[in-house]
Amino acid sequence: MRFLPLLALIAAVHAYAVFDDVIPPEPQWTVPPLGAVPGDAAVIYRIVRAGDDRAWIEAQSRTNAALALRWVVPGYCDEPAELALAPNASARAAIRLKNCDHGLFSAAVLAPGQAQPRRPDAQPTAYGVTASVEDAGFAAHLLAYTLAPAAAGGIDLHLRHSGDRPVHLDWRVVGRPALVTPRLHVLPGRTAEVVLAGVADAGVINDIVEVSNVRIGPDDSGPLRSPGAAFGRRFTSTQSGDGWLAAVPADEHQIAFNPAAVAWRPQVQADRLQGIDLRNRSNQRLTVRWALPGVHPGGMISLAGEEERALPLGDLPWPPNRVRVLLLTGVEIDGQALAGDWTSAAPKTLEGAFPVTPVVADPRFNPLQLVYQTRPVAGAAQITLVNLHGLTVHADVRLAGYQKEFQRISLAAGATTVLTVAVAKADLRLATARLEVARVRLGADQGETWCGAFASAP
Amino acid sequence: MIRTLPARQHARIPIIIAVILGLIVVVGINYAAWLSVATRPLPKLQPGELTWSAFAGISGTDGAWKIPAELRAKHDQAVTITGVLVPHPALRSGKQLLGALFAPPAKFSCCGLTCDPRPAVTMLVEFASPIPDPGKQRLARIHGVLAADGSATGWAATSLSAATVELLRDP
Repeated sequence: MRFLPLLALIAAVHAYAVFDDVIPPEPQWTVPPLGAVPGDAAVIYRIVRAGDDRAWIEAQSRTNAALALRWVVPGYCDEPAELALAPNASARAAIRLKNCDHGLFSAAVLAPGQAQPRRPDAQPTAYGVTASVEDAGFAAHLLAYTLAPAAAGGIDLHLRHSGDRPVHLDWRVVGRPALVTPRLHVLPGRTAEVVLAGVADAGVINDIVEVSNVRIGPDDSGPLRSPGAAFGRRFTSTQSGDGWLAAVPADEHQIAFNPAAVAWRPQVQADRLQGIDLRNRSNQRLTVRWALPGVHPGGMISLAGEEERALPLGDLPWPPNRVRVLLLTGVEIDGQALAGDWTSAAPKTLEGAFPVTPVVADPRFNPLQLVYQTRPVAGAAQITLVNLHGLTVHADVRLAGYQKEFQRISLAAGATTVLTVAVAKADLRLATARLEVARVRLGADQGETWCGAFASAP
Repeated sequence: MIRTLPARQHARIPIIIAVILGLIVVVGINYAAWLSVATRPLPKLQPGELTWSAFAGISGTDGAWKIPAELRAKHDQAVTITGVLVPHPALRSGKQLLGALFAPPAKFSCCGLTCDPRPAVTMLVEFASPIPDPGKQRLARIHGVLAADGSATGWAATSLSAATVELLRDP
């Protein structure tokens, strides 16, 4: 087939492009289907997650008539939610969920008994993670993931980190409490993979991944962002039509600053721009640099937690529709300067590498982030090791079947090392030999060790 | 009654025809390519050839693999088997392969031939003499001496030694 290479190229690009189209975990304002609203009223609604088994249905009326709505959300809640909508007003009703995944945010609300529209089949999709609590110091939208059933059972997570600094986080899959998930340490620009034991069904591809206890920087220390707790505060406004707009990050990879923490709106008088209002949606003091591209060079401003401030800009010769974008860069959070550029080397790719094998499997250590390749070289085994973790790894290592003794290694985040070990027989089977690890520590080589110990270890 | 189109609509007609023709060509190319991928079967097995179904029953782990009796009976015997030859960097010497990994075909798709990579169904192949590196995964028929006594360690539960390779056309 002469056209096959062309198709293969297009399709391959499409396959790898799954992360180029990340769906954020945000509810959308949607028009309910016909029959879900009495009469011909203009109503929009959205579903906002409020925990693992609760959500809000929020509705806005755009009519001058009062409305009484009864809605079910097929697949998620069969118990009718009742909303009384005053003319041109908003209301919300809590619903108890029997299922919570990304389909919730685009689920249709129906009048009880109304026929359910056919939903398209689920496709593998990259989603943005949800932070357990929104935090001004953590831009969760820079983490995207795919979930899939693993080949030999279990669940396979790919987590892409588009930020500019290493990130360390706990994570969980909403609705699957039995899964034990290791803390992840992901380098900027990399995609971490984790394969978890568990029973996965096809529906796992739409599950929600929630992250918490986040730290940002070269080591897993410093301020804790989005502490693990019940599903918490959202910066996403629960209001709409109030004129507040989301800011756009000036540095789109700055993971240590969440642009959703600051909202803005133009001040308009006589159809001319007079200034802007800024609102700090977080409870932390924020210092930010702002600019209105093409309109005003902006400057630096410090806002106390929850503060709203008006910035008069004089009588600018621009109509308000000219001002659409506010660029924002985080400078300080609670008086602490955000870190500068990350300059450490990125890990090299290692074709055909295998993950290390822990002597004792430990849910706290992800072996897929320490990979190696072994080749026979002049009567010895040459082992190339790459640390894909965002932290230094310390471990005892041993080539199973070839070495009785073990050696301790310390490998910095993203670093590569080559070990040459004498073996009795340097044959081709070395290429598939397992590299066992024990007494693993991440970060500093002190304190508790993971993954067991070799029998001859002291 | 004959209606005459305004001049502006006349000008759009060639563009509309070009767009429609372009869409037909794109859809046709994709359909033909999909058909060629979807309808080509794997090559027929030769008489007496080992099948991968025997490997599906392998369980256990390093050095203590549980090998089904049917497969264990072939231990130390010459066998022929068809699967996916996977060149591995550690088994490469210049432009030649000293050995390779070998696994059952999983699917042939737009991105090429893929295989089931689980250690239980992966074989380590040591060639009788080096072969030219095909540079990518290839469908192959391999003849060699099977080691399937359960004692293997590492990422392959079984192996073939003194192997000869016949590279096959991708399905």
